[in-house]
Amino acid sequence: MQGGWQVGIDTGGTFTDLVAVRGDEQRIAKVPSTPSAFDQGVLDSITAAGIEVSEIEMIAHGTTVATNAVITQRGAATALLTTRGFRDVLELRRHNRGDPYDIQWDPPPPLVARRNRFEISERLDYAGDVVIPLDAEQVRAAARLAARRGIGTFAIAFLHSYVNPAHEDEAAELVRSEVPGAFVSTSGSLLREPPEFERTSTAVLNAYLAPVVSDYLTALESRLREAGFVGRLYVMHSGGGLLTVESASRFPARLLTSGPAAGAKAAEGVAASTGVAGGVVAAGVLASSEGLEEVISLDIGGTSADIAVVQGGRADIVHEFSPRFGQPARFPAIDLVTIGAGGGSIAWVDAGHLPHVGPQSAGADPGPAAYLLGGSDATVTDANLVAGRLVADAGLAGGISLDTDAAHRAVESFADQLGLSVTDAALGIIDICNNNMARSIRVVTVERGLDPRNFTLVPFGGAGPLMAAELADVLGIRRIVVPLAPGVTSGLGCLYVDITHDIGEALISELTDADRARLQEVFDRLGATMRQRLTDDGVAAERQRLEYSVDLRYLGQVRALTVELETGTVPERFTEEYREMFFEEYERQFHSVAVDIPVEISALRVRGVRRSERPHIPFSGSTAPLHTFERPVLTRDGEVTARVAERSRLHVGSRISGPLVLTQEDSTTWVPPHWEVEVDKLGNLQMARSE
Amino acid sequence: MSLRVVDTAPTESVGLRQQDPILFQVLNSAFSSIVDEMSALTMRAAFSLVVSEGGDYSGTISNRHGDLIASGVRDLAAHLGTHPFTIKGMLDWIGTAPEEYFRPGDVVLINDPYIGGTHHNDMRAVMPFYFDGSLAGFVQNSMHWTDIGGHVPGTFDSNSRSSYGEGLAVPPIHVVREGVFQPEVSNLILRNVRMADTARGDLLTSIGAVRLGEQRLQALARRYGTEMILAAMDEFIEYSEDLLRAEFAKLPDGPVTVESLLDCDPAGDSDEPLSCHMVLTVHGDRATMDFSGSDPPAKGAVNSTRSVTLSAAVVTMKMIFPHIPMNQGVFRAIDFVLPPGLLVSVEFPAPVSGCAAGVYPAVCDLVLKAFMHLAPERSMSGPTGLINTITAGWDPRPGYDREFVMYLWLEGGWGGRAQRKDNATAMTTFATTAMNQPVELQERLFPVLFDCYRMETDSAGAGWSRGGLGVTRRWYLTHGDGVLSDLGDGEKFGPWGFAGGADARPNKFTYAPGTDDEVNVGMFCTNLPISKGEMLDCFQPGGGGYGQPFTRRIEHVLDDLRDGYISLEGAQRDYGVVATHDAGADDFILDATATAALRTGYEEGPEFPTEGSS
Repeated sequence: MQGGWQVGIDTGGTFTDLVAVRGDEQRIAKVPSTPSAFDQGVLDSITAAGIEVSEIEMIAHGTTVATNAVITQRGAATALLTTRGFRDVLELRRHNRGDPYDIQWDPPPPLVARRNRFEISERLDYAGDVVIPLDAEQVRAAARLAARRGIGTFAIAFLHSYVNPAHEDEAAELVRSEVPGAFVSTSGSLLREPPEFERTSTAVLNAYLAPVVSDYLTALESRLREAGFVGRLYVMHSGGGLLTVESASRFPARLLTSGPAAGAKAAEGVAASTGVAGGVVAAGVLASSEGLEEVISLDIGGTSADIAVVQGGRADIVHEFSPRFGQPARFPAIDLVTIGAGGGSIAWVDAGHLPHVGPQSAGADPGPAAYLLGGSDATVTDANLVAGRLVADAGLAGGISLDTDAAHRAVESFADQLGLSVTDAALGIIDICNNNMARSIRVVTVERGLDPRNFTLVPFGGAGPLMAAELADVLGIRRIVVPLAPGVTSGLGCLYVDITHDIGEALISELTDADRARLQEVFDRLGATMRQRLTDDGVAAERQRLEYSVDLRYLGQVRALTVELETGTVPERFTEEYREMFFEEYERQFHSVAVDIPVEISALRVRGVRRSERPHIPFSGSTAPLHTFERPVLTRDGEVTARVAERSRLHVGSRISGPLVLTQEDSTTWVPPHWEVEVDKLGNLQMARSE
Repeated sequence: MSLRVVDTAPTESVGLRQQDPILFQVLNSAFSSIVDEMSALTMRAAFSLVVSEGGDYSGTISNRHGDLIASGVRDLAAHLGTHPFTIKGMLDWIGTAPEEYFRPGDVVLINDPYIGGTHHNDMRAVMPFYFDGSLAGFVQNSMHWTDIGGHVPGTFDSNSRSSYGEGLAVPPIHVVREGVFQPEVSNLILRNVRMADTARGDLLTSIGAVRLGEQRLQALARRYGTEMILAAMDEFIEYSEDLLRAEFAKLPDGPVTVESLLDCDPAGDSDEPLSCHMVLTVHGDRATMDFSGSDPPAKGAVNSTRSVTLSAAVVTMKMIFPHIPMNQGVFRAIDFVLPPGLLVSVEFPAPVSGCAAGVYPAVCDLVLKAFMHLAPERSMSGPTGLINTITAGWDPRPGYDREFVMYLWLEGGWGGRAQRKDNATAMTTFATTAMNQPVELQERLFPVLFDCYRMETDSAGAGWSRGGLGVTRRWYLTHGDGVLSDLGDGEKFGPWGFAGGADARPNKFTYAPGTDDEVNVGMFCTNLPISKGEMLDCFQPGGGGYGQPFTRRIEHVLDDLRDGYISLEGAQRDYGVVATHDAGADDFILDATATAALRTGYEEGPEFPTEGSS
């Protein structure tokens, strides 16, 4: 189907954002998320965007469903089957500690309690050969006992299954036959590498999440099909790539930061395009000829804020992600910090009469008091409304209107508990929320030796542009870029994603002994498998790109270096060429190299890629005259008179000084008195602090 | 990238800390990040499993006087506090101006325990860094070499009576001169050690790590200016000292006297225990630690040098006050009384290879014990000790065909706590920053097979808050015969309980258990012949308990039964809780009457405080 809609949909804890692009056409939508059944919000967003389901070619979907299950501890009750003698691998972890020195620190309890970890007589050795055969009766007995305890989800992690998964596979079949309908996650099918703890933990998380994620994706896909959807549905994974529904259901642990990863991808896109656009607005004080080298991506939604650092155009990738300490899923993930601070964060007073904001959130339902949907707690949104930074009659996405009186009553009740005026209470809520976010930003910058003051803040999500300038003040950040449609930027980020697959095969041989024909055979076979996989994903042959690499190490070394190759054709003099490339890469990474230690191949790898075209939302700027009105806004320096304007009325190159409130359907931008804003060619708001 | 130009250094009276607290924290973190980056390189590039997976290495940055400026999150605890002594010891030893000895691009090796080191296995690489042509400080990387020679594979020799039996001692020597590698030096060293290929790879890794650190420091100085960096280095130390002194000021003044005992002298004439003794006296915002009441040196290798004892003392202070950045400021807030020539301060050539199992944990225990009296909410009951084990032989597997030396130590329980729930199983105190070695990788690298790696039922010291569980590993040789050596402590004295909490049961290491060939390996074993297929069974204890165990809440005792952390017998014996297992109901059923009878005179204690309330 040619020329259909490309649709990015990101489901957050509070709102579901959609961006659809077809040629020069675009649509955006923002609707409340539906936590009881997240698929409803996805369908609502398509309806709200006014596009025909049958005309959608591709949906790329970021979802919070996996994260939500871990945070609310609503994953499935899970049993773990291990090799006899090794049921404690999960609990012993690798022994690294949240703070290695802190005696009072405690690791979170393991996802599977010891009583539900069952030891099975079986053993393979390092080469995958059977030392002790699998005792089928023990597997059946364990499955029965677990089932009796109400457990229908199983992880199986046997030693050396990464070399030979036969025992795990056999045990999985036994469990399925003993407990019909059981979901079984085997470690060797998820991760073909040692060591045992990381593989066990990955299998456990995968099992824990599987029923929730797979039920969700099945429901979503079938409802879309019923509505006439004939395109392809992909799900965003934590590493910022896409998975098919089938893969995502098999590897739910890959979705742990699915939604936030979409936001970080969007920030990458903003960073990449803004350098150019900024340069065009050459006269502006904000113009930059360097582009945005160092960006802090800040996505503030209703429930939480996600923070990522983008350097040199790329968000950092880590090779595993732990939703809680010591519970890693070993899959690539964008390096993110998430905190419970958003528009819906509730302000409260503790037993010691100290004020707090979050991490509890009123979410979308009941939502802030101002929504008039039954919420009575004061939230960050209510505080902003009271402070005059949100405009009640501007209207919100999803047809929500804001009621100033309700917000005032909620903030007043919070203020009364502290003996404060409503004004001080509203500003206090905003300050506390900003400081919470500043602390988390310091974690990803200051604690890694990066100075946040050298960074550009890219705020998005419904509440990002509202909070960004004063947050920047706390951190000493002097430059902000607000994307064109901040409220749906995460949806756009879903469309910025490349489809990537990685496959590899262990092949251990000293480089001088390696057989060229055999290497070529492996590369050819992996390449063919990869082409098929991309074709299965609907990627046309001319858009498929294969990247070949080889893992090399010194003989006797534990870990290997991955060396990228230009082609999948093994050159005649590969021994010398690969060796030279290894030395070069080794020197670059490890700063010391020896040419007299033999070099060993440990694996061959192929990555298949379909690059995203990074569509952007077309922007031409307005030519109509700018209408503004004035209103009082509360600041720490007293009440100021701010201009209020519709953002869509701004011209390219318009430059306005704060105090200013810019409204748009999916977000509101607050420009405090000491800040100045300019519109660049892509429609971004470039904000700078004036002296 | 913007270059920050600084014309003048911040004056002493108004430091960077006051002028620009954010920049101060940025720089403090930047230094630690550099060490962490060295650390990441070390783990990725190292050849030996105990470094690449186990994390038995450390890195630091010192100023030109050797004062510790920064460490990272992964630096082996026992090494950490010795790093400044290594540099200071070298500066004394070289007998020439530091600028002449340490040229830009040099890398100097040292493992000499008596020049501020630990034991011979810990090989250090030291590289100077110069700012604007002046020596500004040193980057250091220390790595445990699996073997450093001597007649015992792995070098741990409890029979050794002096340094000469503990492998190759390397006083300062240049392995890289102004960027040029010196193969004769590395050849000399590698010719003396087993698994020389592994050692060579680890040496290469150490050199790379310090080079990386030096480059990163140069970049930092370019970005922020030399003056700024040098001033900040001084202020990091003042900052940590201020923080620690503020903590001392909150504590009651006066002396606390504590003792901890080692099993015995491995080469001595009697089985009498050896005493490590400390008087900790807080006076205002300073403290004195006086070790002069400790025993004279042992003839065998459980002694420690002064630097190891002080490392144990300051690193345990870091465990008590984890918010204080670890640098020379922690040393400066404390007056140490440590006369030479004691068990805790031996000099050349007294043997020291077992220091990490002997004096080091004993000194940690002294500090933990003292703080159980001073500020119990910050400390814990006795944590597990340490047994170094070495399984060695020939690996005949296809593709291997080489000598192998497998170095392994086990984790155990940490102690119960005054205001927290039960403690966990964790690394021993000498290695709080380290990690366990995965069985799958050990079996790939060595011809061994592990029969189990498990938490041991009833091994935790009982208490209102119990210790973490101890751990058992059992393994055997799969392809041939070999030898076993070990060097440990804690076979006589299990980790101590406090405030009525029970001691945990002590270490146990057995060869061929349950067979005619059974041998109690003990803590001081040298080159015991072991046969293919015969089991080695090593148990490392749990942590001591805190508070009377009969006051432990019954629901927690029942939960421990369900998870098999304790047995039915243990519940009754250690906790006064009588229960039965009902297989039909798949649960443990409390016998309330019998329990009440056993617990007569004890009241059930309070629930543990919930998360986040501490």
